[in-house]
Amino acid sequence: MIRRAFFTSFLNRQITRTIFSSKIINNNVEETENLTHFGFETVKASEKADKVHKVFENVAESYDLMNDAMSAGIHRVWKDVFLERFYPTQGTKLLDVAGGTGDIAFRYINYIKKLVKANPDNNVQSSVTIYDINQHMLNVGMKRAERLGFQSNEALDVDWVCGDAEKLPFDDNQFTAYTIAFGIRNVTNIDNVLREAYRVLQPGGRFMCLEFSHIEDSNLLQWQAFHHKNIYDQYSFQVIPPMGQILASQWEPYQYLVESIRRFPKQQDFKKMIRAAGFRAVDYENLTFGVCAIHSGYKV
Amino acid sequence: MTASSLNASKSQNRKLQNVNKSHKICSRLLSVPSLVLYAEQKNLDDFRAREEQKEAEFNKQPIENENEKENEEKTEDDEEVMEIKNKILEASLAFVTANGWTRQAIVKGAEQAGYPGTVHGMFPSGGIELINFYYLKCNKDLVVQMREKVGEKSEKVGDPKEFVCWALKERLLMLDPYIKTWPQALAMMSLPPNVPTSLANMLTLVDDICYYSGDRSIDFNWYARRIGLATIYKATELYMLQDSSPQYESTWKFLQRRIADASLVHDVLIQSEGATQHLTQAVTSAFTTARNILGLNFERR
Amino acid sequence: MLRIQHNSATIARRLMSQHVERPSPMVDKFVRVDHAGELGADRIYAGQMAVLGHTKVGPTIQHMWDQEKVHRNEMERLIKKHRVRPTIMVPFWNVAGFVLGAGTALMGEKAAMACTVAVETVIVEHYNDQLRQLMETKNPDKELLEVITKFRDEEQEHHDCGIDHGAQQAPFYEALTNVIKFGCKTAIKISEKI
Repeated sequence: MIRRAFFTSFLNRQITRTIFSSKIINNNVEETENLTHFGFETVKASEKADKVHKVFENVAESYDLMNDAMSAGIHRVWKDVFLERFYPTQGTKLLDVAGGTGDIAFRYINYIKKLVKANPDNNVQSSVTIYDINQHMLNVGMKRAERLGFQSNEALDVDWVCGDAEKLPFDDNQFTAYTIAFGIRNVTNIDNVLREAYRVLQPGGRFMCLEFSHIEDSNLLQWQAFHHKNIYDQYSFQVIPPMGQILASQWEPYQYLVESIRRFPKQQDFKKMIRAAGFRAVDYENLTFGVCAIHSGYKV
Repeated sequence: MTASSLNASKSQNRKLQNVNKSHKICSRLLSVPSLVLYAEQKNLDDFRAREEQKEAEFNKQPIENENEKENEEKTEDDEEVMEIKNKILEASLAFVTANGWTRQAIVKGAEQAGYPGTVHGMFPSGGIELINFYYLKCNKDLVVQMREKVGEKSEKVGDPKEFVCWALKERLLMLDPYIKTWPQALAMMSLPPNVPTSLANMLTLVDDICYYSGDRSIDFNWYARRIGLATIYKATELYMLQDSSPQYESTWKFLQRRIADASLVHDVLIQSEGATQHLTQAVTSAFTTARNILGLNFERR
Repeated sequence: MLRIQHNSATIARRLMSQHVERPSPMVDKFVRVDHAGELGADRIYAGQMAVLGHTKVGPTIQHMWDQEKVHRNEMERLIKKHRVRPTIMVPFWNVAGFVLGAGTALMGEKAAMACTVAVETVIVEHYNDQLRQLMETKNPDKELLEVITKFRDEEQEHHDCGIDHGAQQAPFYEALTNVIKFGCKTAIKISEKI
């Protein structure tokens, strides 16, 4: 059994190595239209989706471990704060995108359960739809839900749907809240995702995004900001990939993930992108000096 | 050059520098006549150099205009969002008696106004936003009433004390529909993060009342009157919260007693101000007499 | 908390500007500080007159004082017109101005003139800054512009008058003027805020 595990992880490493040696492939490609970034590499837009898919396929089982490595465990606190800012009320129809393993959705379900208990005569139906591009992640999430007891009941519907965030298979004006936690930096085209979010939200609906962001030095002294950025860079590039190798026998997916954070737009720029999609009353809040940020907008 | 001539030229330079300093000020002027009056060639060149530098700095500014356009668009958007927020808060007021000044009331109000409950996130501070909205709404209504009563520039004010009494009464009556939940509102308003806004609200109210009662003072009285009125308002408000008499009769009597007290203090202060003047005059005359006696009036011509 | 770009000052200002007849923050600040300035100048000349009233420079100081009185009345009229909040330091500037005027006058005629020169220098620079800031706004208040321009020209006259009467021969001219200028600039900063 140990030999099989070793062989599987060896195979995984080989697969990821061939995928990530796209530099050789790129030199032979002659057309240069529709290039996008994949970490610090430049790849064709059509290829990015596949690459991202493969990354998450490989890490689905140890996603939690990966998150813990990326953020030294603080991601749980961030998600709690995220839900606090959201403060769900009864009757909310939530679409949780890129929420494969169900972290945000389970916290939401807990909130709704408490509200239902406190107001037993309120018969409003709430719902949550967990949506992810990767069926493996959804499978992991469904297993966890079964194990922890987060399933549909009479006051709450729970659905698991697989698909692309840039082409949502839902009607217009269907949801009252849209959340995407640590998912939007992996999409090929952020503007498409924002437009789709705008489409499926009801008037008055809320868009919320939790994502790794850039350390802002507006409130910090110069040396403090430099200090923080330095520590953060060292941790990201020197500690996380080796940790990935130790914990999940994968180095390159973690390298990709760290690089994708650096490539994500700054808080202000992302705010402008959200406004451009049609949302209003857009604002953001930094968590942990800007390592993470919550962006929020409304379809009013 | 010999040492003495060097010194002479140094002092000459210093004198020129002094003169230049005073001329620098006039050469900064944008008006031509003073320039003509002090037209030494050296100063003209200095002036030109300085003005060119200022122009160069000014020319860097067009970059700011691009941001201005964006800001203009943003403010239009912001105004629409403000209107929507006001609409939601207005609808939420109906649910305050049942739910208190809380986020729950805002959620119910939003649903009443046709928005899903999630818009309560537009009010991140929760219930205090509803309280501020109501406070400002009452202030605005009061201003409209006052303007009707005494005109735009307070032409028709009779007795300022009567007017102030009437204005305070009208304003306190606006609390009547929410009198049961107002203690909760007061408590929330005195929480440290909310204190600056609450103070600003109250001072706006008090400033309006003073202005329409005809107060046009331009010295310390401006502050004394407003702070005095603020204390009267606060005391009466607190009294009203525990008043169970019909139509709040005891509260109005309390209010009149407070205003009478304030007038008494005001009169005393005026008299003591007169006393200070007398004192100053007494001291000055004593000083002059002493000087005359001692014959130190040598500058008299 | 989600970053709301409010601090209490912005909130207060926005609340204040929701009422139609309140002045814009810039006009409010300018009229308040100009009134404080003219009040101070009025009291300085009063102090100087109290000591030097019967000397040969008496009539000059009296003439300048009369002009300052006109300035002060005009500023008070503007306060009433625009519904501006006057500075809270009025009683303080009353006393401080008188003490400054009387103090420098006691040091002699030339020192009094030096004080005049220092104060007027700061005031002229201050008025020029205000004019520049007003011109940069979209619809500057014409009346305010005229008033400030006229006052600036008259203050410049006072300054030149002071120089003519031998301000620069005052003892410790440099030190005296620098101290007075610093005091005036601080006073201006204080009255702009409160």
